[in-house]
Amino acid sequence: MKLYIIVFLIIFFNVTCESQNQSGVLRYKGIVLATKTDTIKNQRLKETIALFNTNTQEVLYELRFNHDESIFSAIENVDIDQSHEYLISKILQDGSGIYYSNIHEKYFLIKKENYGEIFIIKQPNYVWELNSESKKIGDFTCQKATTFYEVNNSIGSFKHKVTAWYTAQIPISFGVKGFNGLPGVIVQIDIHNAVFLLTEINFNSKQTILINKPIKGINITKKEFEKIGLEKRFKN
Amino acid sequence: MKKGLILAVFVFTAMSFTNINNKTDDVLPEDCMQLSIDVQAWYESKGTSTDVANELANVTYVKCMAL
Repeated sequence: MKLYIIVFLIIFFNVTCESQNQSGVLRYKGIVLATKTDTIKNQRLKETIALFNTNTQEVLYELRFNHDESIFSAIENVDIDQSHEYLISKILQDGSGIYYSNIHEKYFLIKKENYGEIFIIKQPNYVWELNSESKKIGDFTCQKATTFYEVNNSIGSFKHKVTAWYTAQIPISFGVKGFNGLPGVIVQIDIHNAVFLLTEINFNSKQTILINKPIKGINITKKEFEKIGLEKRFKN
Repeated sequence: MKKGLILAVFVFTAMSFTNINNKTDDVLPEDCMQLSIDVQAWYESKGTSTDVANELANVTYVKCMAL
């Protein structure tokens, strides 16, 4: 009996270590969720928002990771139809940035081009609440986890609930858009008005994927970036 | 012949100016600016960050002016 336990522990330890040591690329698709327009009285505004709601496209993203670091960004290549609809969808998913994470840090970085400048925004890691609820997504048994992200804009302060479904079958803690720290790969995540779904998994155990930390840009905190936004926004 | 050519160029130029003026009458930059401001304010009221709402306002302005 003692021998069985030792053998089991050795196998379990090896599998876990292998998963943790792997480099790889995860692919996601982002889908925009329509916002309600029935309360809008301004007809022109209503038509514009309705157009944004209906003329959407899926946006493809890539999460490249090695043992310590990860980069998450939209896939940019010539094959992608860079139409007006695609651009709108990407903006609505807040998918224009490059998200860099290091497992040893208590924050992650977002490289973004806004207001004619390149910023590197430092954001603290999210704190998750793990839930016992589970569901099957494709071949994966997923567990529910929730967190919040805060937005401070010209109207006020908003706290948006984020729901992630992760699978402990693949113990990788890097996630979509800096939503790291879960005990498994995120299979689905609902963030404000967008849903991100895992579509492809490619592990690369033979070669370590090199991740470059973004360095060129104005280093800034989330709070400072939000303050700049208030000064530069469209206003009367 | 020369007079005819000069007249044709004059008529063509006048027509081009008329078309430009008509287009400007259809879409006023102020209207597009106001729509962009409304888009920005509406998305922010739904809890969208200022930078994202601003990008949507920019796209709205460009699209509105191109119509």
